[in-house]
Amino acid sequence: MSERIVITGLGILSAAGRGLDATRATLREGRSGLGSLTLFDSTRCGHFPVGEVRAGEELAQARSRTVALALPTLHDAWAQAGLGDGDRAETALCLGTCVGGMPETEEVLGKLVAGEETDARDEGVWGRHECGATTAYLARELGLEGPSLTLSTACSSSAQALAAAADLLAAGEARMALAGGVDAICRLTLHGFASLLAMDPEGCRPFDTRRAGMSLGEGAAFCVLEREEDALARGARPLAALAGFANTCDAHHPTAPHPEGEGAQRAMALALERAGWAPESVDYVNAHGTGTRDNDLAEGHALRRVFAGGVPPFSSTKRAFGHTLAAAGAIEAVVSVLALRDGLLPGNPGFAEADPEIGLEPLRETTDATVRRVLSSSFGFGGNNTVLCFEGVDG
Amino acid sequence: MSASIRIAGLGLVDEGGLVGTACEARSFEQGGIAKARWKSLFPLPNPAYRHLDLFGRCVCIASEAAGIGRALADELRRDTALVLATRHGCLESDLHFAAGLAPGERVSPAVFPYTLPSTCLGELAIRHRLQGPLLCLMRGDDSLQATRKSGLREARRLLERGEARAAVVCIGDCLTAERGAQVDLPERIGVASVVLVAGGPEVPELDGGDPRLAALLAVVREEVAAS
Repeated sequence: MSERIVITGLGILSAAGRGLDATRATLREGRSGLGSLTLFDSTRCGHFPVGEVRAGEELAQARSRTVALALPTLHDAWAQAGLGDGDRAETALCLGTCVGGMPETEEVLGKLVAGEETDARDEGVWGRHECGATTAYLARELGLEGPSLTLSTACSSSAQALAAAADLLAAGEARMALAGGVDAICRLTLHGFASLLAMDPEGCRPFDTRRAGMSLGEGAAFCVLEREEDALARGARPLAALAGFANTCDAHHPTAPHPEGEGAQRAMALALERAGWAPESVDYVNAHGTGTRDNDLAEGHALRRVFAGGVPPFSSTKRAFGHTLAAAGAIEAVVSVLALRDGLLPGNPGFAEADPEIGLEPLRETTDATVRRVLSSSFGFGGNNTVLCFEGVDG
Repeated sequence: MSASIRIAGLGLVDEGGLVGTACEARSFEQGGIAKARWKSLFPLPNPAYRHLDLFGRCVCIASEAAGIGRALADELRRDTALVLATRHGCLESDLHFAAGLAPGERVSPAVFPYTLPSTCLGELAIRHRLQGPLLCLMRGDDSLQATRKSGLREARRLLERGEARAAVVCIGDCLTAERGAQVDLPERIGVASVVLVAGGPEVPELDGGDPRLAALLAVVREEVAAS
């Protein structure tokens, strides 16, 4: 990228808790964030462990669960960046989300489609439903007047939101951007992934030979992005730089990855090229690592080919948070920045035994190390592959 | 307009019919777009077409009408971006899937992937081996013009920054009158597809004298010229 884009603020809310300290503690201890679902009865599709956010009344009172997860996270990122009211006019919002207001509207949709009576028509339900409406609401709540973008490319949505924000900043269309993602657990996604037989009843075990699927999660994460010269000019302290990114399409199957990880490999190689990094300079890879048989195998192939000289330490942190779908890329961006700032290589909760077909073993436990460069991968339905490169900054 | 981005094709599909740079205008004789069959539209073998949801079908049909097959040389396809801009996205499939959540009904694994808008772009990518960036933008307002502009702006950015060498931009919605009535929303069926290529002169007679394509072309020219 021609202009260096830096991160000056972070916010995160997940099954691991709210904020960087809770997230750091979860990563250090290699904890699983998975537990029983309490949001609704899932008897019909089976009981799967999930990464549910438990924050009580605060969540129950908001306009929608999606908004409730996003708002405190946005405020946290804004505060850490040291931004004030005067900055709102030139700040963009780039949001990745797949479910929008679905957790509130899906029950009503089911009734309406079945021809049952409901008074939902009078309650402004549809104003909350669509993904773009969530972004518009959040921008209004925060008083942001810069461009607003909603990215919805399934599990790569918020990684794309960060890339889109970097493009907006590089094009001079905003002075700073809040970029990230949010998704709440809902019936549609739980039943949907269950119907695809894509969830592991034991909880996800990424890269393990016994892995049997993903675990659904929910949460939000946001980064404040700025051009480095702007950040330094206002006295902000950059936490990390977004050094490059790439986005490719498999053109292979609507939902399954290319079996050889061809598109993922191309995205990783392009991101490295755009960042100007040699593969051997990467200290850590935060893998997409969902725990499905197909994803982890394809991703393993891609890693082995991109890092032909030796795959760097890598792990999937999906069991710590659950697979938060559209929020996953941003949550893993926060993990990547923590790895750089704190000098830690996060472990891969749920992993016990290597899969000979993958031929790679992730980090079993979190360890301390000097980390200067991190690559983070996110893949989604439609064959989409998004890869972000983060690097440390001085100070 | 920018010399660096050329418009290589336009296609438009709605209940009124199909029109595009690569096909003559035609109406759907029976049942509208929801009932249209691939073989009646294009002399192409496409056995997987029947699996697509309505939105995916409209995206593919509009892009075929734009001439995606001939506008994009093989060597460009690896670097061709796919951009979708929409308001309702997959609401039609959301409603279909939600019906399966009702007591006594069954959820369909065949419908679930289509509740995500990136899936229909993936379908288009598979059919034409398009392997560049894939972007889905969800608009929060009701203006078709704003939706069109946002999709074109993102495609332009990708081309200008060298992240892609060509782009297929699909803009619109597919909410049928029947489904729309269930949620008090008006019918909204119409997808435009625009093929943009970095470099070279504009293809002549893109609109073929068709007023609907001429209106679309004016918006595309304005947005591409803004670069």
